[in-house]
Amino acid sequence: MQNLLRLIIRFSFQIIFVILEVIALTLVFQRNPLPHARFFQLSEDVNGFFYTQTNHFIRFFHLTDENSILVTENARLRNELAQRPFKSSGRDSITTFSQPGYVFNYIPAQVVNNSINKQNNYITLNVGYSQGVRQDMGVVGPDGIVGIVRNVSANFSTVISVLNSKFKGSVKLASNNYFGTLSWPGHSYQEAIVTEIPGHAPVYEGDAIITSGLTTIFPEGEKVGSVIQVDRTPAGSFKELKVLLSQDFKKLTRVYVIRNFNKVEQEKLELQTYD
Amino acid sequence: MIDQLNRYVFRFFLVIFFQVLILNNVQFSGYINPYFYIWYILVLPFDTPGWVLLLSAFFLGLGVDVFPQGIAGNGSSLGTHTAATLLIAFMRPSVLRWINPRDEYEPGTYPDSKNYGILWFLSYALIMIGIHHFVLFFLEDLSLRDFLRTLLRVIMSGIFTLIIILFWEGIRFRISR
Repeated sequence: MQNLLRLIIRFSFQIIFVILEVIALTLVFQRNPLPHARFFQLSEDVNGFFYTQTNHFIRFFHLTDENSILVTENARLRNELAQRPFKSSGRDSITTFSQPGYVFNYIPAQVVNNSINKQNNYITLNVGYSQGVRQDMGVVGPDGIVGIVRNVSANFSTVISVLNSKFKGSVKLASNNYFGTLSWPGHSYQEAIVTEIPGHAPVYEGDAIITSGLTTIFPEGEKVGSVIQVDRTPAGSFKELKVLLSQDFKKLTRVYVIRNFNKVEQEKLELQTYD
Repeated sequence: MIDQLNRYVFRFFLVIFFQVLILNNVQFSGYINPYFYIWYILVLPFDTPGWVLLLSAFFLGLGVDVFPQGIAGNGSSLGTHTAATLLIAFMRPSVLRWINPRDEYEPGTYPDSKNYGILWFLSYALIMIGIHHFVLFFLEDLSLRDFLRTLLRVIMSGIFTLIIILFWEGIRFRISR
């Protein structure tokens, strides 16, 4: 017994190290997201406060840039509005009788924290539960899609950025509607890839990529980017597209969280079907 | 003694805030993110008891982990700084023994550039930063699929961490002289 005690005292440094390191590695390798979620829920508001403070200061220097972005966006929206009657009298008209007036609602938000240099990048927004934000809502910026909401606290939410190895999005080619999956290989903050495009689909460099509307997260037709390179998979049955993202993640300040009013109903029905 | 303790507690919070509020917002290219905060572990006094060394490393890493750039439930993010910082704290006595200068370390001094010269400090910092960044970036990636790219991140960020630490040592040196 005395020997054992002496041994423990002699190797206390090593023993403490092993205990603490095991705790740290448990945190790292923990696959169950629940304790993390709880922990982050708590720290998110604290972080949010700090980031808002620093952001107030930093934003001041970007006012001119931000203004011009908003003006361009306004102009684009006006143009879209002007073209609306012509569009809905075309092939879209058939959908109008089954669909309620509006399905999607845009909640404006401010980016208070953003990274682009990790393997898994996340964005913090200054809107949360009280503003109507819920998990798994889509987020778009003025120039294209930005990510998907992950965690939500009372007044803040965190978003899985497109620049995240865990991000997956359903997108399609604007010209011919062939759809594929958008993901981020992690090399550059401007480039993503689209996989699972059928090999026979005609694709050219410069083709626009938009969201497919096949999930409840993004409405159809949100901008994603443009094709800069077309590769075939070794088997040749699929094409892999390198895409230049239209949204510049380095100057992301104002974004919109997309609320889908039909989401719950649609997902409930789908779940019943798949079971 | 109490004065000394206060100084280290103050310094502890200072490096965490400097790291999370300033350095974590520095985004050069996709590769570079300096981690200056380990300087705290580097220059703790020689006679720091083992358990103090380990516990302060644990809480230092945890402090940086709690405020990462991308927080949201990212399974691989929490704990990486803690694990990496603990490891260098554990290896610190061995590293110090390994690269000891011609004479033994004098009691009452600190392992910094002022006491043992810039060259000695450079090699000391280089070893410690190397271990820390290597563990950190590979834990963050959690795979070896892009080994070379992660290694490049280790090297690039390591260089910047080293530059900031040397720069800071330079400022301290000048002020105290």
